[in-house]
Parts: sequence; C-alpha cells; structure tokens
Amino acid sequence: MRVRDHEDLRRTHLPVVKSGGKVCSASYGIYVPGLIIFLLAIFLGVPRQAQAKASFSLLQAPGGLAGTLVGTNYRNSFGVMNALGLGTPATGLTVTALSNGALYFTQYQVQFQGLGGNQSAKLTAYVSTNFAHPAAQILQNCPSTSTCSTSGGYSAMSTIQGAPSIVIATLGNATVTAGLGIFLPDNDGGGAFAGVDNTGVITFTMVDTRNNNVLQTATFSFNGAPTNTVQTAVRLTLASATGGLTITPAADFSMNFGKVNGLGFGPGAGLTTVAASGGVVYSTPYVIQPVFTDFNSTTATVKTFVSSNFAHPAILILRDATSSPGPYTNIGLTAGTATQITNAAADRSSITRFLGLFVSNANGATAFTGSDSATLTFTLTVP
Amino acid sequence: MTMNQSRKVLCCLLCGLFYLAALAGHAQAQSLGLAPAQVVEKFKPGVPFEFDLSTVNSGETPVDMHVEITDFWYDEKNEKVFSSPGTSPRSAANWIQFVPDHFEVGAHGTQKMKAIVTPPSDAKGGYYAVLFVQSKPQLSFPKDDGKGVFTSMRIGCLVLLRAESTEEYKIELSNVKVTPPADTHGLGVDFDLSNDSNTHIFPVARVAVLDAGRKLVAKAESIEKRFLPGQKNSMHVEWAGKLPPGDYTAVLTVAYGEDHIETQQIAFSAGAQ
Repeated sequence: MRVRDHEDLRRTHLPVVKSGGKVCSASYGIYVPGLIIFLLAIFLGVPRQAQAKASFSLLQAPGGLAGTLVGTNYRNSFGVMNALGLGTPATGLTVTALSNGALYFTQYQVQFQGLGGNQSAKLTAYVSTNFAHPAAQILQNCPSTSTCSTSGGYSAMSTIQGAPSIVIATLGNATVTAGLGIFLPDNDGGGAFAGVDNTGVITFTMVDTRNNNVLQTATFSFNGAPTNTVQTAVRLTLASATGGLTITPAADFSMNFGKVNGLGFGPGAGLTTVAASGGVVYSTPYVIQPVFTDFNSTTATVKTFVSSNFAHPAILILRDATSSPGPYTNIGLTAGTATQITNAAADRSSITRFLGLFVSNANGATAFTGSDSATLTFTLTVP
Repeated sequence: MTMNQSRKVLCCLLCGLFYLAALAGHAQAQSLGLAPAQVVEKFKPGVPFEFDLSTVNSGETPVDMHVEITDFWYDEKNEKVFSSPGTSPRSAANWIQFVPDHFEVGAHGTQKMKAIVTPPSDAKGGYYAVLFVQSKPQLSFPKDDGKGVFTSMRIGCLVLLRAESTEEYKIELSNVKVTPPADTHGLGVDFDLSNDSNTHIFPVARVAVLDAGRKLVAKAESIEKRFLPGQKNSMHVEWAGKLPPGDYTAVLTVAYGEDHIETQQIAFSAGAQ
C-alpha cells in the first residue's frame, strides 16, 4: 500500500510537468511565476504566516502531571483527593494541607512557538465548565511569575471568560513554568460533597499582546483516569491543654511527686486534686481535636473507653469530666459502654476534657505495692 | 495500704497522667487521620471488589497500628452501635479483609491499605460494617518499667454497601408539622421518616411554600441524612425568611434512593410578624 500510495503521489505531479509540452521548457515556465509568488510571500506574507503558526503547548514539568492531548484538548485527572490532604496524591501532584482545606497542585510548562520577530503573546485561563460541585473543588491558577512549587503561589482561577486569569503576562518564543491546582475546602453540611466529579474544563487562550488577537485556544479537562474523586476524611488529635501538665518524657518523673502526705497529695503543676467518696481524684486537662471533611453532618462523635484496665481496678479508676472540679464519672470499660465525650463536635474544634485518676484510700487486702497501667482508647466517628 | 505504698503507687500513676498530658504537647501529640472516612458502594452479589484507604500519622514518632472490623448498626436512640462481626442485622463485617491489617506508620507518614470485600451471591439490599484503624497504646509511665496510663486512638470508616438491582425502596413520613415563621424564627417543617427499604438511603427534604394564589413564595432544602434499613428518625427543613399574613400551603418533597420521591402538602397560616 505504501508503494502504491507513493506512486499515486508522483503521478499527481505529472500533469503539471506535461502542461508545458516539453519537459525542460515546462519546468522553466512554471518557475518564474512561482518565484514571483515566493518573493511576494517573503515581503508581504511572512508576518501573516508567522501569526497563523503561533501556538502554545502545555508540557509536563519535571515531576509534574502530564496531559494527554487529543485535538486541542488536554485531558487528565487529579485522581483521589480529600480536604485534609491525607494520603499520597496521584503521581505528578503535590498536596499541601492548609488550615481550611487542602491544595492539590502541579507545575506544568507552557511553550510558545511560531511568534515572529519581536512578537509576544500572553496566555490566559478561565474555568469554562465548572465542576458539578463547585464548592467542593475550586480550580486554582499559579501564573508564571509566581513560585508554583508551593501553595502560596496559587489563587482561585477566574470563572469568567471576559476576565480570565493570567497564566503568562507576556512572552516570546520561550518556555516557562506555571501551575494548576484544585483547592478542596474543609466543607461539611450542605456544601459537602464526596464522590466522583470530573466535569471541570479550563480554557487556555493565547493572545497577541499587540492587538489582542486570539492566536490559539486549548482546553484542559479533568475527565481522565483515575477518576477525579473527592473523599471524606477524618483526623483525631490529642493535644495539651492550657494549665495542663507540660512535663516532657525526659524529665525525672519521680522528682515531681515527692509532696505526699497521709491526707492527700500536694499535686504538681498541671495536676489538680478533687475530693471523692472513698479516695481522691487526680486530674489533668487535655484537648481533643477532631477534624472531618465532606460529610453531610456538621458534627462528629468522640468516645473513650478503658480498653485495658488496671491490674488493681478496685483501687485505681480512670474518670472523665467536662470541668476541673467535676463531677468525674467512671470511663466505660468496653467499646459498647464507651463514655461519650461529645456527639456534637464541630470540625476543627478543640474540646478540653479532664482525665481523672481515682485512687481509693481503702486499706486491707486490695492494697498493693508497685506500679500499674491502663489503656484509654479514643474513638472518632462521623457523623 | 501503708502510706509509703500509697505514695509509691500514686507517684507511678500520677506520673502516668503527667505523661498523658505530655503526649499532648506539641512534640508528643498523637494525631491520626483516615481517608476515606465513609465508603458508600454498590456491588454485584458474589463478585469480590476492593477499595483503598489511607491512614496518616501526623505525630512525631512512628505508630504501630492495626485494623479492626466491626458491625455497624443503630440502637433505639438512633445512636451508632459497633458490635462484634456478625452480631448485628445486615452485617458486612465478615465479608471484609484488610491488607495489611497490621503495620507501622512512620512519623508524618502514610500507609495505604486495601479492603477486599467478598459478598455472598445471595446478598440483597444493604449491608454494613465499620473499619477501625487503631493505634497501639504507646504512652506509658514510667519509662523504666513500662507502667502507667497508655492511650490509643481508633478512627472509624463507615462502610455502607448495597447489592445492586436488589434494592426495595420504601419510606413513610409521619408527624409532619409546619411551624410558621415568627419574629424569633423562620419557617420550619419537621417530620419523622421511617426507612422501610431493605437498604440505606440518604433522603433530602425540600419544601416549597405556595401562597393562596398558588404562587411560589419560598423554598428550602434540608441536608442529607443517613437512614439504615428500618431506621426511623426526624428530619428538619428551615427557611429563614418572613411571610405576609395569610394562608399558605407547604409542599414537602422527600427525594431518596436515586429516583424515588414522597410528597405531602400541608396547609398553614402565617400571622403578623
């Protein structure tokens, strides 16, 4: 087939050659007007030709995301994301957890070519089709003049065709680096979304800076594979509370508890004693910080239970209270009887609780010498 | 117990409390994350499938973790119940295997896990489980003998599965009540919803308010709410605006189960506000 095609191609030129009647004269006769046209083209047509050829390419930056080009549409996906930035992002993406969500981003290169002489162009971008859940995924732009390797260079991309975001302010035939991102806000409740949403499309436009003529447009779609997906996510943190114990593991613990007497203890800094029937409660505040995103519920449940109790449970009991003076209640001993710390924890809230250790003052057979241990398990579920 | 004995024991235990507080300091804080925290999937009965989860340790020290799978159901107070695998109705806990089910996550590290679900061929409707990622108790006192108060954390991922093409959807609305807007509150529509389906639903309630001339004057929408099979709970829709005195009709529409709706109309009057 290839040979035959080649033969056909040669044959198409033959009538031109034959038109002059003689091979040599025919060739000469065509050359003269051809030369004139060629010269005219040099003097008159070059700028137009250069303008017609001016174009841009979106290229993969080192370590960045690539786009599969089909026609004038680049296609890819940011894969699976969550607003806490948990887990490993898709290849080519960087994720930065922020105080109000997470930014997934990639750098990419823009190559301008075909611009003539001193001609320069700019590149703009806008969200021509937003995600079906635009509150859950917000497209971000990082212009070539910013540092696109960190989240600080990114801001929301325009959704208005008439006022697009600037990707490149002005550039000749060269290659520069810009950035593209998706910000996932820390949404819960009505604005929350979890699932597949790959409908976003960005339109890039290359514009001649001299006359604002559009030189080329291309789009970037997020409907590649793996599917562009927003996940729910949770995080639970136990942190220190103001006024609570601040001792470090390197401290000499035993030195901090020397002030004891037969009626009770002079508690060290951060510890409080509370009178209790049959003994005394030593307590310290601590903070629970639940974080959760993209749930329909705006509240979470935090529970705790003693998953491994003291070897001497008649003398030593772990208790919980909402305030330092109490009242202190025994913490549940099984997952099924766990003590509910709250069933209305807001996202990114700090809940201060008081963990109490009840020590019985009973004498007799239950007395023991030595140390003991117990384990508390904290559980977070949403909603 | 002698005073010396008491003193020694209390010293040890209070040191445990100290250590617990210390763990909460910036350098010692425990912080664990999980994504996704809820998995809603449909499956073909008898056909295994899988999904990925990631757990993250935001703390400064490595954390030894394991996965625990429990049932997921509810009690008479509509509170979640996490019982042993296979003990609750519509349990999927015994269908799920985790790979790996025990692992260490480095400081500021991530561990990816795979949940492999093997549903039986006769599955119909919805099935439920919870995947708990639990840290090994790591906070002990004193250091020299490993005694004291330990803490661990577990974070749950709710798993809601339904066998495709086997769902039977039905809900019942009751106790529908419209509270006309007043100076101190907006318009509210409250009702009870009973999920008589054989699977979970996430109903959304929408209210349209028509005036005496059947003209739309207000509309509002609730957030989605999860109902497991057989579960009955309340729903609420609120509109913050004001209405001129007059007679109105609230059209309540509850959308659920992909393409099912239930509608009721409630006449009410608004007074001067």
